Amino acid sequence: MKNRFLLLALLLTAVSCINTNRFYPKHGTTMTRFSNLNAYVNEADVTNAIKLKKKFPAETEFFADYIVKSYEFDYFADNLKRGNPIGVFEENFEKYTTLKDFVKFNKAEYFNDQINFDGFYILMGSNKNADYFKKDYYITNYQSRGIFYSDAKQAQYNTDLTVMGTNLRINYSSYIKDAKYLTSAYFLEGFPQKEKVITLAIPSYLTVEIIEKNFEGFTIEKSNKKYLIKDDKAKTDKTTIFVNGINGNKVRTSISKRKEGKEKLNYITYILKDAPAIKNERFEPGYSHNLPHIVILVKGINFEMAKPFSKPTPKEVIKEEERLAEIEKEAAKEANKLLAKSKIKVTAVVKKEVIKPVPLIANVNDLYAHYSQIANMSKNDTSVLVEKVKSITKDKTTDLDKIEAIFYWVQDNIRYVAFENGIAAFKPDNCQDVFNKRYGDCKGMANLLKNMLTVLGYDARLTWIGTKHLNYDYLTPSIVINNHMICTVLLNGKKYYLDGTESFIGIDDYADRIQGRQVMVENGKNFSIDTIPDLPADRNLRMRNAVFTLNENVFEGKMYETIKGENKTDILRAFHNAPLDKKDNVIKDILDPDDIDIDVSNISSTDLSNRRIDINLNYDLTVSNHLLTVDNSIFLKPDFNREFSSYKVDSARFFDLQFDHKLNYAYDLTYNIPAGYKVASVPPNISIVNPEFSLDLKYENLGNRIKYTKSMIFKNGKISKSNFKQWNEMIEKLRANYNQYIVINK
Amino acid sequence: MKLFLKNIQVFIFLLLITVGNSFAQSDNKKDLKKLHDLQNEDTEPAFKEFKTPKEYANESMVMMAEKFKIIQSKISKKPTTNNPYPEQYAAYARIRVKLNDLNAIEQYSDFSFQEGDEIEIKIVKADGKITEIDLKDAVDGENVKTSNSYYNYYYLSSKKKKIALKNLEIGDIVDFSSYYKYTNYYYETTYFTNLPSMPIVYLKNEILVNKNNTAVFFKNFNGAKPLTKKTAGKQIQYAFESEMINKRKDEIMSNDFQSDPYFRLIVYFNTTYSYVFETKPKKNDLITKLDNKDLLEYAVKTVKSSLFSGKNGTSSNYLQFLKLDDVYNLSDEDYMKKYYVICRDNAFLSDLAFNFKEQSYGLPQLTNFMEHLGRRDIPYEVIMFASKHVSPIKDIIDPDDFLWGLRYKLKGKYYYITSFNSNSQINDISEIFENTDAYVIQGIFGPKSKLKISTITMPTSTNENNVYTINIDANFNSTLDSLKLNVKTETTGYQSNFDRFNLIKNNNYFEEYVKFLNDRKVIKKSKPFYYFAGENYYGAKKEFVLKEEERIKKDYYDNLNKEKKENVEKAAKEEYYVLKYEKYESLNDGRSIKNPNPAWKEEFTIGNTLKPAGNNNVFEIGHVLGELSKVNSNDDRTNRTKPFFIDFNKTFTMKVNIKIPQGKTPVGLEQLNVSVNNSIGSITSTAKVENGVIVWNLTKKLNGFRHEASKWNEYLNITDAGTQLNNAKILFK
Repeated sequence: MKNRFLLLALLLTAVSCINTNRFYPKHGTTMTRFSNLNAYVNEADVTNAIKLKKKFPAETEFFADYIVKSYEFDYFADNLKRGNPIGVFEENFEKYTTLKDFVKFNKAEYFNDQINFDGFYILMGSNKNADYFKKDYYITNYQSRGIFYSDAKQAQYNTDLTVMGTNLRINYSSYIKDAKYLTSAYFLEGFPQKEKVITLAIPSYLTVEIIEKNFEGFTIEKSNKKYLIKDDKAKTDKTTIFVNGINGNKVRTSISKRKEGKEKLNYITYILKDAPAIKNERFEPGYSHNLPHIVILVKGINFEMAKPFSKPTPKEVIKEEERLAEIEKEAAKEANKLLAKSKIKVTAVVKKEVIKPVPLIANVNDLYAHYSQIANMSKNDTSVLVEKVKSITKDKTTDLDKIEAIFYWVQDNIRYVAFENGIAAFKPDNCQDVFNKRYGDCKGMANLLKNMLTVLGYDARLTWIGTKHLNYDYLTPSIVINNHMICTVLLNGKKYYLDGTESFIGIDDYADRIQGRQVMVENGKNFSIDTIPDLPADRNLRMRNAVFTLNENVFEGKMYETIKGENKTDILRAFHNAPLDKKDNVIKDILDPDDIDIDVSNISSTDLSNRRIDINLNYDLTVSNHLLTVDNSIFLKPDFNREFSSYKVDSARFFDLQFDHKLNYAYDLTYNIPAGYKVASVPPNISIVNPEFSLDLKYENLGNRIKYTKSMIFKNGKISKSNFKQWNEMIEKLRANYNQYIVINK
Repeated sequence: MKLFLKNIQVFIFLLLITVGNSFAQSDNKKDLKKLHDLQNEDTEPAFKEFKTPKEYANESMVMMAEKFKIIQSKISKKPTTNNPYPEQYAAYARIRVKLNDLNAIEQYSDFSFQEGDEIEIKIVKADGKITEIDLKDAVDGENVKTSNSYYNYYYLSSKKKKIALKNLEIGDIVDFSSYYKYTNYYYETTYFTNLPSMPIVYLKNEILVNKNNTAVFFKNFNGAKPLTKKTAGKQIQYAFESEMINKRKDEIMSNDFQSDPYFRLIVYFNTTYSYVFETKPKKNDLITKLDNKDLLEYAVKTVKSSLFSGKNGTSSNYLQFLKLDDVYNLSDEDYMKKYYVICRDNAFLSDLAFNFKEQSYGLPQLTNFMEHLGRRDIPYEVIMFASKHVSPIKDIIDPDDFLWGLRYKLKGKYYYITSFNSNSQINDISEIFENTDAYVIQGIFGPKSKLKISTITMPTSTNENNVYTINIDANFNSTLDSLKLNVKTETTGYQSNFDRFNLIKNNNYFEEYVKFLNDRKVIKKSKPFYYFAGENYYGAKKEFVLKEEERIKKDYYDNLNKEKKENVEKAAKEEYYVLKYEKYESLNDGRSIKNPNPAWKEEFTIGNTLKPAGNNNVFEIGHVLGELSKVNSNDDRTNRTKPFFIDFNKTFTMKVNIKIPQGKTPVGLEQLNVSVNNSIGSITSTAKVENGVIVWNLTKKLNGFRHEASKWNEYLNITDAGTQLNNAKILFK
């Protein structure tokens, strides 16, 4: 489910995807033949492009003169059978200028069975006589790592633009059948924009709330004016959009877009001028954390006011339904004729699951109603679970042990395989199906956990959650706020949150991505909003303790290491997922990753099959290339890990720095001084404390030994942009310190 | 894609995809009857065995049984208008993989296929219960639909499906089988018998061919077992059977073709045999060697057919070049050198840059060359040779493995023509051909009675021929926190192969070539490709077009220069902690006949070398060398089992001069004096102070080609000495 929501963000927030792969012919390759020799470029176009080119980084290939996203809500009576009669026409008007020769324009738009896509209309070049033409495009099934199957499709149009200054105008439309799925719209793109417009036309019978996110630092004008498209050739007068019929796209009908002036529309228009380009950055958080965007909440409808404007009219709907039913009947008749010999009778054409009407989402209660209604469509049969549940818990005596055993069994035996097909993207797969298939997605695993625990008589509940990837909470009643499902079990007044997708995590321990996040826990017709404990950085403690002896070119000693939390689960996963024949080397490979300076041997560890306990490792460690013995002196670089020395960030970076999790390193390393030597100098100590991070490096001269301690804590795993200056100062000090030698003289 | 597919792909790659480039599946209808019939023939006990042999108890996945069968169609039809691609053979494959851990389950979690494929997947549980995977549960894979906007029509180009396998548990066996029909006229494979990705308990490959109309070529290498042969009725069965094959162990610098057992197999179905050779082979025999008669006929046929195209094409234009007076007066050597340059540049550039259709690599260029050798009455011979990574020429059974060249002799010296590319030279012989046997064909244009074939050995090179020389002058800045390097690099022989191409790949030498050809009226259209847009884009405003051409040309050059600098800068940054990359200058791109050795200069500043140590500094002097090759991984360092290969005899020399900062005295230079010399090569490093400068000289030599595993430690001794130098530190007092 988490990915489904991500996908919806892709589908509905429509951050434009323009791949700008260069296609300069290279020497030694066959010359590319170019396809758009009819694009007309005049002198003014080229002059303009040369001027623009100077304003942006050299790699910039496109400049958008404007990107307009227009959302127009409308009432469609026949949508009532799908639950919500409010649909949305989305229209996009875009104009690009190329800032380089030989660039490839690739436009991608996503859609699925909730969205009808109408194709791309293109106007190329600056010839006054040129017009828009509907262009051929490709449709591919959306493929994403982590999603085994998605019904989402990607429509792609691409063309080669050969000369700098070429103008390309593109116009494309979609029809979103249910306004609930229009969740947000973003302002920035992967290229600079002169003007980005997001405009909404809202009928007076509809209540829509807009939440503005991350507008700080951007001058985004808001008005209640209708935005007029600055393109006299744009197809703003399209009056119909195709809607797929039942059973594929052979049967088609059309929905008329409203005629101007017939009903009162309220407009909300946002304009961002001179929008910068965004690019992917290392350790970036989810887009909702930093990018300016709006969240669109369609909260209520006055049906009486809306009905007169219904399109098509109720009569038309009935007529169309009768026509489709007739086609179905005919198709069944034909099929039966063909199959007559085999005496198989076709009694019905494919039936889709029917969802009862749900209200619009005005508040968190409606959101729960929406979720629970879909979740209740699961037809769970727990009888197949009984035997397994008994066998898993047969040796367990306490309630917690039993819950834990079930939790671990699901972690270990159910593979994560995500299907996102229609309603299946939101509905948990039946518990017996997940159990029998031994695979499922987060919803399936949560549902299986719930039902296995219920069989044992525990109070287990489905729970909706948005991971840290999202920057929302339940004050925003929208499906955009959740991307994941877990199971909550209540035991002796305490809630345990079980995430079946997190393998090798102990009970009552929580992955960083769900810590501190609000959850919606089911409770029949009611629900509760709780918060998963936000565990401190100590949870991820990595503690090292060693005493080293200095030899001529190396130092060596016994290392005692304690590994907790996220680092622990990472190691357990690496160990248990490693092939049998490689298991023996897993820990060594983690400690000694082919670093020629480090040699690790004689490793012993605590029980790696017990995910409840911390990992304790001890091993012999020999470090070379950190010691120079010359001229009756020893020069020692004590830190052989040099963590984060290269993590300086570009201060112009757009996103906060978001690490995988909180961090806490505590090293205590002692170096024995050879007899006859004494410490002449040590590097300076460092102590830095910041609300988001702290660093404490200390060198203590204890006569016959030097103690080097390092404490590095990233309190919430995130470094905000406002802290980049301090962060970079810290990294610079750290790097300089790592580079300094301890001097030990005879 | 998960490993399941990958495994199957590897499996199919080895045994199926190697059939050539023209196969087509003849029938997409799903009919599992034939598949089931073939499964019923799998009577070997391995196909019923469930228990993992104790030898493989600790393996993640074990191939319990694997079978691959090529079955020639009973009636191999010739193509007709109605049936242009008649079915020639079918391929049956079956694998039974035991999954012994979570990793294996993850790898076999899902499977992709094309709709209509005749495949079957079963899961065999520990208790013997068999579940068949219902492929109807499969979902769409990454299919591509193409819209036709005009007709509102969508074309589906493929129907890929994928399915997640249900109820997989540790200890299960995945039993996969497939049956495909093919229409291509030959089946070809190169099969390594001892290099599976997982251990194999039982393996059988079979080829079932019809008597009297099939030719089977087979050659085994490095100790691979021969095929067995059985005749049954109208069919002959060739088979390869093996048991308990260990999983492959990857080792760096190894070469499977040189050290691991494998066989090559080519089956020509029906009449296709005459496509390759004029004469029919001895029917029903396993043919393991091409005889001289075959080779000669093949050579004549191939060379003559390409000569035909040469005479009617490229050569005529080249003659315009030869009409020039200055060419007629050249000596034979210089004449052929000049002519080679024309062939070389034309082969490389014409297709790329000009509307000049007579480009070609390879044989047509060679035949032109022959023609001009003939004009100058210079005797020459055609040579057929092969890469040392394929097999010795005597073991070649597929004529496509041969490469073609010429040699001619002038003033007692042989000249070899083996390649035409952007940076090749007249006597270049790639390192992959050096010291290999080659066939020499004489009398190729004369009567059959004059045709002769003999064997020669291609020339070889020494360490002195292939040298990489780097001179570095290093100076600290005034605050001693950075070190500026002036680096000059020159390469010779095979050491320059990469650099020659890399250096010139962004050079725009089109202009010169265009001018040259224009002067001789060889081409009519002379605008390089970056002017392609022309009037089509800009309409008829010629002034604007001309202006745009200038702009595009400038942008193009700017971009080339930028890319070139970025490339060398990137290479420097991979080796050094570069603070600032200042300058790159090409001194010689290596294309000149007179000076084929590429050379270039760089200037950049590095940091992280001089570290505070009390009142003194530790100078991590080894960083000045960049990165010398090293072997880090414990796996790579220990338990070497296979021979290792160094591509050719080579030498690296580095001369480093580091100016000692004012007031500092270097201590500990003696550790830079290193000398290792063994059968793999040598490394020698010496350092001293001369006139306030640390003078550090390093020479490393490596000997090609094959070295036995027992010598691995000698190789490590050399690389470790290099690592020691890279890690070297001295004290600046």
